[in-house]
Amino acid sequence: MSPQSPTGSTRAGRPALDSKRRGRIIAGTLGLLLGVWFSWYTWVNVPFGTQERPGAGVFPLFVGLLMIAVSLLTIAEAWFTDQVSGEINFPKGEKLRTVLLMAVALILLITFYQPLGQYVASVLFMIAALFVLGTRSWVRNVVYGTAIGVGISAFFVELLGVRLPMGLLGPTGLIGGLFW
Amino acid sequence: MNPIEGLLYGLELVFTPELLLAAFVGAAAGTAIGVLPGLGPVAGAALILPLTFTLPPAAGLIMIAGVYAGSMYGGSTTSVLMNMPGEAASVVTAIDGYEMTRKGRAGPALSIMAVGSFIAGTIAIILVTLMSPIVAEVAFLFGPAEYLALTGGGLLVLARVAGGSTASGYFPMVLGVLLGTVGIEQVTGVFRYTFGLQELALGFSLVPVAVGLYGIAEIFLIMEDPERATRIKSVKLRELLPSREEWRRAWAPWGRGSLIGFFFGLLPGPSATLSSFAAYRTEQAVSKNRDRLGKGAVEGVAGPEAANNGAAVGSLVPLLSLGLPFSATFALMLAAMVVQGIQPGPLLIEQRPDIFWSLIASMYVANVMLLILNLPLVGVWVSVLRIPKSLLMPGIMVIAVIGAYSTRFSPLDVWVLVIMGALGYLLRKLDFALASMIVGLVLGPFIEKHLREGLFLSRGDFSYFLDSGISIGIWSVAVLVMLGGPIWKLVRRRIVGEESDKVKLEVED
Repeated sequence: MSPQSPTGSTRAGRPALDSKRRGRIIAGTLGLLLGVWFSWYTWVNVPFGTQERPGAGVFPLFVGLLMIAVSLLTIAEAWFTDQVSGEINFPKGEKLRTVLLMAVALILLITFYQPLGQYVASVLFMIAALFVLGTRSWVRNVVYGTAIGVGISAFFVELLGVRLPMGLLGPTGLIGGLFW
Repeated sequence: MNPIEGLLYGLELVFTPELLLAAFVGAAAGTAIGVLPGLGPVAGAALILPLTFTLPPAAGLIMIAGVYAGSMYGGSTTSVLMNMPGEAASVVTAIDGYEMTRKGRAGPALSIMAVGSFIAGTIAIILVTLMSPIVAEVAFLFGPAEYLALTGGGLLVLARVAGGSTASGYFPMVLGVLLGTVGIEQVTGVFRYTFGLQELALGFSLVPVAVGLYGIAEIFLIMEDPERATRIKSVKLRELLPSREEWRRAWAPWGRGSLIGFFFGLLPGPSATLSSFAAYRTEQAVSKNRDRLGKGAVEGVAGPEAANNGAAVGSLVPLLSLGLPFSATFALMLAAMVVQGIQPGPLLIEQRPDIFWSLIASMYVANVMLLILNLPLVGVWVSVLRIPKSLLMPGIMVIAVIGAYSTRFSPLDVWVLVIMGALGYLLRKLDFALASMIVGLVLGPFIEKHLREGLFLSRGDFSYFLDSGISIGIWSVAVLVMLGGPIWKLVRRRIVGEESDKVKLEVED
């Protein structure tokens, strides 16, 4: 452990707060805000009961205060010590592009999961993911994406009988309605 | 029914085609998940969990037991063959296991690992069989004060032991407990923090939280990881047999590792990982061949592998007898039980002996299944690594979405999955321990329940919680572990060795 000055520089003059410590201070601050809001909300909106019959607010208020305490601890630990330190390696360049595109694909999958249905949504997601992660070959991506998307969906829906949204292929769906 | 009769009864229940198939699927899926770096027992169990809801209770639980044991074994396989531990508990196995591979003894290393896991599982099952009913009897004496001490104290110890720095464990732990307060309050029926969203009334489901924190976050971390040039060594069936000397040298470490693992399994924390280090440390201290450790010694594979399997089985004692999951995987198992209408705890053995004994027997069957499955099929498991990531990762994401949705058929759960994925990704980057968040989410409602019950009983007198010797004892240990950071560090080094410092004990077991 090396003591640091709150201004963020050591006596040796090198930058004191590396990205991991700065990140933990931000995490602690967000936790602190959550704890303060949560405690306030509980205090105002959740009944506390009586001393003999404590209400639904007692435990959450305790948890809210605890959140404030551990958040302060997180900030203090990152600020004053280097117990957890180092640089955070976020992806850059091509890798950043891949991660962001996959995140967008995942968000689109869950946004359109119900309207499109399990089969269509997962096939489209698989095709998109193969473009992002795999080759640029259209045929290969469409064939593999369809096969894996349909295969996984059929395993859960047909084999295991899990009820999943059918969307376009369901009885009231655009495509399913024509056949049901 | 005495424990031996109980175990036989459990084995009788388990030996049906349906349950054996469940054990087979669980062990196979778990091994496949285990060989993939990053996806460990928690992600595996979380992905399988929704699938188990469609099965009868015993089959579902057996499948999860299979996944747990399988993922441990799968992780160790890649440790030995590629020096690439699939999960934290396999890290120490890589030291001597990979050295054995380099010397052309990969097959025997895998056999020693598999047989050691089986022996440890057997010893631990016998101990669980004998101990669980006794602990359950003792637990009848427990009131809210003792249960609060066990749940609250256990959680504090887990967060301290598993988290690296103090804040790394406690910050996510409190976040988990906080998430656990969302939904209808059990005693008075008050809606808390639902903001008019009907779907939030039942609170946060564990599945999307666990799959998001571990599965989705891990997939994104793997995606940005540089391509690993894996030159996979193939092992032929006839190369698996250890020599007579290797067999002889493995027996004692197997025995020692089994007992160490079982003991660690009873405690809160990353028991499988810690016990594997402790077993290695023990071999360094007592083995006749200690000078060969680190250079491809059989003892360095046999001891730790037996220990992590012993710990996995030992953790069943607090889960089944007290209803306390002391690790993230067992928190998922508890969730599976609750969905199936089973409440683990001291009453389980009396009210549902079929479930109690079949679950114990299932761990054993899972071990046997692994022994049968894994050695002959080692080539198949390694070939899982040859599947292109571009096919594997999005496929796992689709399964994760299905898992999150199918738990409660709620679109909200799918969003929770993604939000938790992002949170898990960031918390991992910042070196926070995620296991304490998951256990916090599961134990939080129990802690509140016992606190409220105690306050009702004592008419609001908080001193009630420190009235009994048991609760004072448990709280004292918890406080000691919490505040005695330097002491704990010293003890940890003494018991598990300095090697453990090299490994982040943000643990999945």
